[in-house]
Amino acid sequence: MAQRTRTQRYAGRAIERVLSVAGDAGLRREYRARALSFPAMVLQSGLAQAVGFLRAKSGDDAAYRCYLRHLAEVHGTANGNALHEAIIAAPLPAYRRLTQELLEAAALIKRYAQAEIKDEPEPGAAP
Amino acid sequence: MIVLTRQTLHALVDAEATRHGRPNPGLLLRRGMVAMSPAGQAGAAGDTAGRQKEKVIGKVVDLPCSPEYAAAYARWRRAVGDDARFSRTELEVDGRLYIGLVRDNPLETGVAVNHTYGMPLIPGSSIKGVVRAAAMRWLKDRADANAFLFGRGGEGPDETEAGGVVFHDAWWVPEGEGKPFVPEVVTPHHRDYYNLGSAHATDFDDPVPAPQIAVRGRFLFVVEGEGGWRELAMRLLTLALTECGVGGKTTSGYGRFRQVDRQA
Repeated sequence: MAQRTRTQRYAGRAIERVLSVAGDAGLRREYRARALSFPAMVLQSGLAQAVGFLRAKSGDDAAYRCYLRHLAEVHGTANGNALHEAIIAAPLPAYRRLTQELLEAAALIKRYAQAEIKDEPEPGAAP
Repeated sequence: MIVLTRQTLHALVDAEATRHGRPNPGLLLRRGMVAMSPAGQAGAAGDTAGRQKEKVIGKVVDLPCSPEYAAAYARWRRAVGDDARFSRTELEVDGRLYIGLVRDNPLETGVAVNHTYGMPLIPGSSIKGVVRAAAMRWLKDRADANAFLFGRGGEGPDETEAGGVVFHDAWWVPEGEGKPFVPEVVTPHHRDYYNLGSAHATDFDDPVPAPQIAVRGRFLFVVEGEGGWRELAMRLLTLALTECGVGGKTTSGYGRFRQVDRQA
């Protein structure tokens, strides 16, 4: 079987997951907002803070929960909790590697979310 | 409790914050949340996420200006002291200022700060934007003046033009042990209605206080350019900031300035 690059693997997983949300009217708007904002959060606050924040918000917010699960799955980790625990326990070289990989995964999710999920106005706002 | 810092840094974060007594406020804002309770739950000490954020903001608010920043400010003040090139004015925040308010961090609030010293800063691009917006109204019949002051874009190099004056970042003016940061709060009353659109707004909804951080004090504004144009830009700047304001929530009264008697 032909080798696929890491980017190709991530991209294949990312588009599947974004398309699974694109048809969910109750979830897609907030999911898109999470997808667009997460890469900047990693750059500003660091990977540990950013993923920890997603995990803390996942308790009562479906969009955060879904986005964290997708991020982990695109990266190839079992779930969001396992991803967060690996980040917290990582020594510096591994942490930097994880940051690079997750930024790549998050950037792909962001681009597909921009392409596949239309920007919708806030509820109650004038169209 | 959800940990937000790598295990190898746990011993360092809190100890560092207290050992020197003057951590960089910007770093504390970005990395000061060591742990956070999941939404709707309380931590071991009974703290909710909101209370934990208040504590971090409280640490930042208590930080005075460092001697290093005071020295850097003095160097900046000397560097822009040439009256033939620069016009300067000090304006005081009338109330509170939200500048660089971001929500993409665990604190869900933030301030634009000087990266090295962590003190508040108003980016020159923000100042130029506010002044340009005001000038487009007040000098709407003088497109030539606006084009010179703020530049213009176009299709090719012959149509684009850089502005003829430079709007520098505004530095916070240190005075003694003055503290620039202040705690603020916003209290949405109908979270599900505004965020999710999944419910109607009713009188049965609980208010959810969200701690924020804002800025107070004086800033030094500097404009660089040729004589008359520079003076015009500074007059527009003063009017724009006193009448329109800069930063977030200007429609609620934040971000306005007042003139002070002291010469800059």
